[in-house]
Amino acid sequence: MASESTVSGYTGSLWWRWSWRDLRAHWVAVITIALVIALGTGLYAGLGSTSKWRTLAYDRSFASLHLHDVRLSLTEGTFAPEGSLLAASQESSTSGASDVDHDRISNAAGGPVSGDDTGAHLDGIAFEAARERLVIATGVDTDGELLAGRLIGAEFRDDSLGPDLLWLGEGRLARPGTDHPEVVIETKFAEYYGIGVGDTIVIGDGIAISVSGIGMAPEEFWVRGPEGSLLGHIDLATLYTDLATAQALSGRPGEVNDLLVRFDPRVPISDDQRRSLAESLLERVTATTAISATTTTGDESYAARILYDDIETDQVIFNAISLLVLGAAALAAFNLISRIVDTQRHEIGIGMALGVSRWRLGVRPVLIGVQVGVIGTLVGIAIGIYIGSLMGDLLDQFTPLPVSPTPFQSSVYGRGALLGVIPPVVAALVAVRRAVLLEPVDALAIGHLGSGRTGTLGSWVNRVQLPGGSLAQMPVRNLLRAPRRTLFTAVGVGAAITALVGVTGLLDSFEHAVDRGVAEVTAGDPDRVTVTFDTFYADTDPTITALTGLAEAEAVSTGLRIGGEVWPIGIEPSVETDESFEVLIEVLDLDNPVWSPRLIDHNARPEDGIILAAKAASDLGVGVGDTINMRHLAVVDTGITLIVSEVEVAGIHPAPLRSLSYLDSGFAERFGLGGFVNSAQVLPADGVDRTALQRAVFDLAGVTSATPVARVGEIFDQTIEEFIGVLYIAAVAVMLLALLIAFNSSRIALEERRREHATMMAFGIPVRSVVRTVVIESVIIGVLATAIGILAGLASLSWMLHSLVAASFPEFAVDLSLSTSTVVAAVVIGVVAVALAPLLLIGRLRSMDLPSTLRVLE
Amino acid sequence: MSERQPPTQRITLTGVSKHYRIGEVTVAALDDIDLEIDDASFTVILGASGSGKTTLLNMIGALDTPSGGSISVDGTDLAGANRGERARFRRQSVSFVFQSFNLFGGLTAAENVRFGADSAKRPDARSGVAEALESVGLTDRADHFPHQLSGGEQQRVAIARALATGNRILLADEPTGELDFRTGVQILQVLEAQARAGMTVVIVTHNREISRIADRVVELSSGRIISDGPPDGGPAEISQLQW
Repeated sequence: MASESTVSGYTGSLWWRWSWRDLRAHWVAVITIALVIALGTGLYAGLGSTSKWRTLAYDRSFASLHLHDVRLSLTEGTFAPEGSLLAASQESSTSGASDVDHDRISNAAGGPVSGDDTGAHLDGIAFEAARERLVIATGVDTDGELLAGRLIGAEFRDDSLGPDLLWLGEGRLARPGTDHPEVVIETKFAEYYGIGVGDTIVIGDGIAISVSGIGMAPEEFWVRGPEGSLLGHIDLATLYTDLATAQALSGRPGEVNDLLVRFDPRVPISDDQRRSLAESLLERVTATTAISATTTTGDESYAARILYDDIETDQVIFNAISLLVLGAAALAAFNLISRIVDTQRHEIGIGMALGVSRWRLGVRPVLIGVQVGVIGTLVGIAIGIYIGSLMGDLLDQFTPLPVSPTPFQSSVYGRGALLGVIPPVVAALVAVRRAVLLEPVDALAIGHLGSGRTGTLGSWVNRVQLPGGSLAQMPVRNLLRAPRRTLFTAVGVGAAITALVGVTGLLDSFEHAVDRGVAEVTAGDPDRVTVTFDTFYADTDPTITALTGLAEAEAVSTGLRIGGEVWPIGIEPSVETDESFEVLIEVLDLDNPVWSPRLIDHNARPEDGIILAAKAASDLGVGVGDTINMRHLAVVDTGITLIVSEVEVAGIHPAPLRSLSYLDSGFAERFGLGGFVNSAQVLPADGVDRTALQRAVFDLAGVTSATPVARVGEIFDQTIEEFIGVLYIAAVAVMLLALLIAFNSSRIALEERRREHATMMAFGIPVRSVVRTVVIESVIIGVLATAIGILAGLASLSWMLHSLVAASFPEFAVDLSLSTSTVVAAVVIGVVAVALAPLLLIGRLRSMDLPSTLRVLE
Repeated sequence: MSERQPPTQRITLTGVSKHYRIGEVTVAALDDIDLEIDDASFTVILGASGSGKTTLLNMIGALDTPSGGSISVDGTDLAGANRGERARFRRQSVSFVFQSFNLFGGLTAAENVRFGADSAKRPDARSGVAEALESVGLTDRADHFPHQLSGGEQQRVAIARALATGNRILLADEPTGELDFRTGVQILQVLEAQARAGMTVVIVTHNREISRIADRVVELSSGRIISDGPPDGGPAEISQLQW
């Protein structure tokens, strides 16, 4: 028995040593296939980690800055006396009303409120802190850039419990006072425009303000700009200062328009309860102050919604991309490993002839698969960590946050490792199964009795008649001889092209959508300037007439931009469903001479209803002539309020942003909005350049921004660059993958045809002619692979756009688009790189030992 | 009675040696070989495994280069030829038949033969293919792929491919090594017929019986020629061979 175990042990180590020699013999193949797997698993692991990182970063960042539980905002253009909102909220307390400490609440305008039983309550839930704010629109002139701004006045203090503390990346909080007013400026805006601590910016009415710090409050983790789009941080300057200073700078002493409440965090509150508390707060404040307002919970705030929603939706796209690449890598690895293992079939036959059990014969080839998988996975982990660090940097750049943890995601890497090891092992098992299922005599007889055997498909394609001489026919004949192998090789390379087309096609489609959007918004005179005012004005107000009478302006079209929400008839809107969505309603004279949206469909009188984006109409399932619900501002007897109206869809415009919708000013009169203005479009007079017009407009009272429409394209481009940075990382990985697969396929093909090439050279065929046949063969495979890759890539792109992107970016209509450069890149990699890969192996052909190669007995 | 013309010496080797270095050891595959082979002769190079016979054939066919000495074949100095010159020589002067056939699996029998004609750039490639196939008796198998042919048929295709080049020197390395007796005899008949038709045929074999059909037998051992001359008892008929 002892001797048996010794024999068994010896045999075991023999297989290991043998497979180790195989590994060394095939080291180039092993390394390149491992790299293919590594790129797939690395991308999967690197991209897969971001979901957890982002969740952690958002949770901790919002918590660290004490994000409010409820925010109450007075309707735009309305204000309340300082302290009144706090008082109203506390007066409305019910079960805890008797315990309310009014003084502490008042004090809380500038600081913490105790959360104990003696503090303020709402529906029995204790406040931890509450804070009144003044949020005012203003213009910002920073080094000649005239932009919209938002001044947030609140008593920010280092020791405050919040709500909505200010995180300072640089500098310090703004000191109170108007002699030398100071602000903290929002991080991303400051970064984009190169504003630093100590710099001076100018806000409305030409007031110079010093920048004391750079930072952000939780709501500015994702800034919502005046266009309600992705571009907030670039075209909206958020400025934080103390409440009194903001009141003084805006000419609204003693007024506020915003209230933040944070409940005692020791008391667990469900989302529904928080929502209910928000509604209670709204009812009580509006009942007390008679001012229209809206409330949102912290979770419903724009930043929280966008950021948390994006985690899930982005991850779906990241997963799709990384699985696409991993799938390509797996397919290629499967194909390449199968071919390596196939070369051992003869030796398996020898083993079978010697009576070695089949499972034992399978050990050696399977070990190759395991080795490739393990090496690939180990390298993949390193690549994953590298890609993860790139992603971390990208996330930091895109969403700078107070807390950005990037812990190693062992479960993601574990899944990636599993996905990396499985393909080569399965490939080896399949090839081994093919080999061991043969009778020993067949496995051995791969010489003149076995070589070149083909199946039905091979027999059929071999009958194809080809033109030209034998040398010219050889590449095609070689491919036709083994059609399955040809197809597998093409599919392996094609898989990489599929991933390339899928990933870069996403880039193309986004860029095409942006270009379409820019073209629509900037149509007409490129010198047109869009103007926004700090609040609503009557069109006869001097603020507006100053603009319409401006000497530098040739034509002015005034209008109104208001937020709104739309949903189909018969459905209750809910923030938790996709059945309703927010829109930016622009009220304008559709016949104005300056600009109006291009319509791709409309009824006889487009001015008698709402004009929706094609994407909005599609999402609502409506067309021209249908009716929808619209929640919007209206001026009623009691003042400005929100109402819901049924309006007819009168037209459709093609801009890809779903939120852009338009009402004719005549139609808006029925909502009491006629004659009100908060925005305008201005054309420069003859001889006046855009900059001069912009400056003249910006210097007018009440103007918060004067932006040339041409700038929209620049902003879009900048934003899309940041947004799709991750796709570039994937695109680079995919290109490397495609090149590796191309090189490896060529290398293995060259190895398989070694004896044929030696025979050709024995007949005096020059190396260059031999190489030419290999290159032609590669070109054919490359063309086939590229065709497969582009078609499959288009299919995967279409699926990603219609299933994933549509869900991830519902505000954006992204149609399938493939740029010439993507097609060229696919052809270059699929055809040119595959065709040229054999050239890297010319040295092997030149140094081939012809006698030895020719004498190899099969 | 006319005076007999001296035979043209097509192949001349002078002091040819070939050394391989395996680790610290230098192995002499060929050692100071002097050999002349006449035009239109049928020569067998005989030797046991490792005697250097295949190395010698590779030298003659310019598949390999000698470590020392000179080789002149058909007026071409092969010892000093570069890679391109040797390839041109193989294309224009010699053709090979291998033990393991080395047919192109993707080409039919006719196309494999056509390859020989194409590689030598024969202007009459099409008719040359038909002739070559006919000479080996495989006209009816022209459209078959190698895997559809028996071993003997494959080797005959390989011979036809060699003939289709139109080159006057045919070098065959163990052409019957993978074949049974009957098939081997068929191959030898084809090769003998080529020699009788005026080709210079050089066969390498370890089989002494085969050497009996040659005009001349050059026997090698340990890289040296140990005998050179007609087979013992003079050339035999193929039918007299005993495998």
